[in-house]
Amino acid sequence: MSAHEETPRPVASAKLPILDNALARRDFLKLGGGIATTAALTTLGCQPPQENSLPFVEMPEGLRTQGRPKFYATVSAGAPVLVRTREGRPILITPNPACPAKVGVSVRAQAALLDLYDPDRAQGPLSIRRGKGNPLKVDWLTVGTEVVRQLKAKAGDVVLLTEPITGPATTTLIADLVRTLNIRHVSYSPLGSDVQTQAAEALFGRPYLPRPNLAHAALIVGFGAEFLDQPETGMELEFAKRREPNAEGGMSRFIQLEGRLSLTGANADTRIRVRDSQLANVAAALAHTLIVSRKYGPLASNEAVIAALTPFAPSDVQTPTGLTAQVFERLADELINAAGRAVVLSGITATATTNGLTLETAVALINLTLGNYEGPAFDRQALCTCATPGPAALASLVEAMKAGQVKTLILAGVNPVYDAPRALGFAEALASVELLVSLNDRLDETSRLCDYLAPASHPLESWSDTAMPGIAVAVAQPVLRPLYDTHGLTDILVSWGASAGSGGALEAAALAARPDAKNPAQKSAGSAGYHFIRNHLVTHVVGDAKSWDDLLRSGFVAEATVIGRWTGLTPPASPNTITARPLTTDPGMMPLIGIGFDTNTFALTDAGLQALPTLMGKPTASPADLELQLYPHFALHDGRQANNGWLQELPDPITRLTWASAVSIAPKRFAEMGLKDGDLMEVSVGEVTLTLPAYRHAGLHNDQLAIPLGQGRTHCGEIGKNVGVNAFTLMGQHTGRFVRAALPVTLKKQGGFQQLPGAQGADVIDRKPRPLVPLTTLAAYQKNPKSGTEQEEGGRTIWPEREKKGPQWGMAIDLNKCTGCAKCVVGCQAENNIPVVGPQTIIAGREMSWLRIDRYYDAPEKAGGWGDEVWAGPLDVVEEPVTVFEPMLCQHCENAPCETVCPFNATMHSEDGLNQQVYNRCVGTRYCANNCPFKVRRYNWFEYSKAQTNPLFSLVFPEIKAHAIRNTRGRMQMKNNPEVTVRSRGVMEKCSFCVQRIREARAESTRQGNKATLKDGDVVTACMEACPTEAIVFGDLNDPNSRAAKLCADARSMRLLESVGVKPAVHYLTKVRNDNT
Amino acid sequence: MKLPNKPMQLAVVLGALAGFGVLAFLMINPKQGYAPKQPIFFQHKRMAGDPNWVTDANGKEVNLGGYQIPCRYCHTMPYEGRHSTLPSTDICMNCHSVVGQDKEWVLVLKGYWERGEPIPWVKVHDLPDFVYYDHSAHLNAVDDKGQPKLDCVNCHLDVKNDSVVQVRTKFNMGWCVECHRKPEMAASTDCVTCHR
Repeated sequence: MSAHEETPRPVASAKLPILDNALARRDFLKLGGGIATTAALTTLGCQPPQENSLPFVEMPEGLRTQGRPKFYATVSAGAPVLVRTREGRPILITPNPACPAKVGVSVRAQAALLDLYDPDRAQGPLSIRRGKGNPLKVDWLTVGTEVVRQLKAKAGDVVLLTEPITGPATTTLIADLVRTLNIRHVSYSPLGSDVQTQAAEALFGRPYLPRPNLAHAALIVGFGAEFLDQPETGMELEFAKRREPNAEGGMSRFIQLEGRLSLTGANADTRIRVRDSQLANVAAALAHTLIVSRKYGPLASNEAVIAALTPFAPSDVQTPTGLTAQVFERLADELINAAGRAVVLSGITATATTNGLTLETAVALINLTLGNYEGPAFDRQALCTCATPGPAALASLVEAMKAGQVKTLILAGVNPVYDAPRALGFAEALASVELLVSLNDRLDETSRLCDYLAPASHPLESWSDTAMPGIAVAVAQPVLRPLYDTHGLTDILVSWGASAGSGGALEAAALAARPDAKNPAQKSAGSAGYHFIRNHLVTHVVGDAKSWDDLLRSGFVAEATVIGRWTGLTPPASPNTITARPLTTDPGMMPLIGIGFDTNTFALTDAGLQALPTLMGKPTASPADLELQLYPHFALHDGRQANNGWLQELPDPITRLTWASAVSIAPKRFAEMGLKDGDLMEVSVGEVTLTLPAYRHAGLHNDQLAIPLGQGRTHCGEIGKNVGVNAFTLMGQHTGRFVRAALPVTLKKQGGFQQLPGAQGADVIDRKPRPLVPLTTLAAYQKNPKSGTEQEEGGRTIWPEREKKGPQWGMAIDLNKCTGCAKCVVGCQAENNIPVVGPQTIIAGREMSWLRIDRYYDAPEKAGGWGDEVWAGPLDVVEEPVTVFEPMLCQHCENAPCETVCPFNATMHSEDGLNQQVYNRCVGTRYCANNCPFKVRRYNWFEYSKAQTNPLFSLVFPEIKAHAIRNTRGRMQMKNNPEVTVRSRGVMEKCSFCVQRIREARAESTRQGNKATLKDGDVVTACMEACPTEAIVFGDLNDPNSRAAKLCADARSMRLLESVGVKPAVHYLTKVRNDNT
Repeated sequence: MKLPNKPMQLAVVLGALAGFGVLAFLMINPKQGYAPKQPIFFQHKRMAGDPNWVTDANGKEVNLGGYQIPCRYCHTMPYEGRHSTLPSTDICMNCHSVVGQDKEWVLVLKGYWERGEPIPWVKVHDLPDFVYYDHSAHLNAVDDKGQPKLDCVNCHLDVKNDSVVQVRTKFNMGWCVECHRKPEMAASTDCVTCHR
């Protein structure tokens, strides 16, 4: 026995009951009592934390009703929006409800809110010195002096390189600078395409086409159409309107020909797989079938057209396209049946091939010969899509830079070092420019090679204007003062222009410098940029000062008000011709396209007929066995908002991937190569090779690969940097255009593996055993309106019937109108303070979104039924998938299984039919999530909203550092909606049906003296507000006259899991596919 | 672990029960009587209280009471918004640029005003962060006869005669629910009424 063991030990520890294996019940009680007493004694001295309440010293006018939101109509990402602010800070961006078609609001426009509070934005002007040494802070005067000195020289060697600018005032401002200061202006967008305008100009002598209105289209044929992938075109609502099975004039039919299953293609009734390189041949062969074989339409007797189409006989293009002559005959039949009421469309990715012009020309010929342009489906009076400039201008700029003709380059909103093809040599050419000034908002890939970064303010902090299809002009007004030392782009240009002596800018600067009428000691309100925009819009667009106020209130001018006088530069020759013309002759300058088509003369011009053989060319063979498509990332688009956590975390509607770029491989090839999702692949185009994980992309053409653009930013900030790979490096060039489809590519397995952060497990649903999504065909619907909703009914219920007094909230989701665009997801995330969790958490299956959009591929009926193999996604299902999107949120079940199992009564039913979640009661047992059949409950594994400072915790859970980077730095938490609790760790959360809005509507009714009684439409949930197609309708199901109740009573309506008897408050309306050919 | 005798065992059980009791009590802690020290010795009774005019030693008429200033002169927004709002300093200065210029606490007030600093009042009627209360929804509520159901004094009681403002009710959830349950109030007792 050693001495050590002889030392007396404390008695208690020797007999500590916990150490014994069997802890007697009595001992447990005794011990528990002791602990409780100690705890009670120690907490006796505790008080709730003392907080201060700091009132204003002087109350600002307009802030009198604290705690109530204020709204501003402005512009975000080029779309008219309404910004909800609380106590002066923006908390939500929604489509402007005054704007009839909710035109063009994309997820990027919604998520721009997060960019506003992005701590990685430049916080003031910096001297970068082309990346030598750390950036140094400078002031605006230093940068301004240098630039103005160059501008004053008027030597013609200053170039302003901007993103496409559409607003009439901003365009005029730049045109003014170009004219008076002898500078050059080039606009550039990596995804810009001038193929359509080129084709239109060659064929019709004018660089535009009438705008399709899908609400009046009986048949839509898309050749890689992307109108749902690109909400900017503002066609979603019009498309959805005609998708009602009982729509006036009949439900529209949508046939899409494409290589990669896109969101648009997923909404098609019939989808035909054609690889990108063959789309032009297919379109031409279809034109051949209609015009040459069938001799249909006015072009059938036109020798030149027939000659140009002759090489494209379906039999000749059959082999490369892989389509039989029957397919063309069927398409031709359908088109002829719908002649004059059809729309044939292409998409900008489909035309970004070497034969894009052929595709556009063929599409125009088909529309012409069917008389579609004269029909109701094309709106000849609407402002047609503003063409985006092609990259030819950038190429000529690079030439000029290399030749030493550019002394000063000012960049605004462009990032060519990241997104122009490497072969162009933009980054290298920068070295020959003497002064490089970037007006981008952050130290990005291009800015870090410049001399100065003079950061432009966020759009919500500055004045600007924009023009867009469907409506004419929208004005962007600042919603708050700049958070950092930044100036609005218009302000910068006006103040530099004025200092250099440019006329229009001088005038605006003088107005801004004028003393205030009431208080001569102060300057008048409004910056120089504001005065420029106001002056221009008052004079040329709205007409008088009062209408200007109306413009600020509504946010936009409908085009009827401005026809004929909206740029003021070129007065219209006659009311029926184009009212505005290109403002400069610079090839990169955006042509402003006017209104007022002359419908009678819309025909092929003689020049067009002569150009036809060149435009059409000969059928092209595919470039190689395998071709690559580079498509704009659904959420990130060209990647300018890559540092945005909401966009990074928004699952792609088709691939369901977040926080990654992957190479999409067709299911059959995937199986042949023996791959699994996440296997690292080497993708080579020419000499450039990228390594990225493989993804099995349903519906992809077997000979095609696809990679999203917009990822792989190296200098965008802490959140988005080094996520995925930069696919712009693979982009090719052809006759002054960027080629990003039908690129010859080789694919090799690299051997590594990278887990893909996907937000969904299984792809394929077998509705026989699991009728979880109502789906039917138009023929079946017309026979039986209830078809598609079949399921086992009436499970036994253990719950007593509830008394339903007052409103019973519920929701109807029309799957026929839901296009899967995911705007509801972003709207919900912003409204309900949902944190950004990051890729690792998504991989662990712990995403936080309260509302997700499930994407299913429907397994067709099979003799004997499907077995377990259906989960893996059988080839015959995923090769030609039938896609259905289902927004999934808390169903607010009347008999909610989660409520039964909560041991703490933290979730229970309210009188008005809500499944309530009470955070302060929740202790996080997660029983409810286990018992939820819809898997809509989310658990807070971490304290996302607070930076965890405890070093021990940071050591044990390194991910909390990443969570802090994504959620809590700088002013990020200022985005939070103060009406919704910011949940902490260990709490279960889920969709609340935006209960804060219900309570606010009741309070408003009380304030109006109406005793908290609500009318239909008083409560609009965030998802309903964000939905562009009105697929989501929320309301009182106890009021038979409410919109929601009517929809829920429709024959198409179905509640999920009737057999379990949970009685959800969310009703889904059957998705009907139009198979009537 | 064996305890020597019955009384001892009983003591442990009672102790445990008492411990749980204290804990439970703390969790529903009434805030009654809470009157933290404020940066300015502000007396509601001198502003809103009833006047008490007396003749002082010099034969001058002085008001030892208040001036019956209505609540909403300073707390401007209870009928319009969620918060009743504390007065911004300029509201104080409406009077105190003239009145009581030599008084100790008025000088402190003027100090804040001249430095342009907000007065760091300590919250007295402070609800937990997970409670969403709306003054306007309470004060605008009317009964069947169109009469308002509530006034400030229903919850804040006699604040106008306080020297130091203090919580005069229990001000915990039980106290809220007590009133919400009254049939004449016709108020909701759903969790989401206050928690969301």
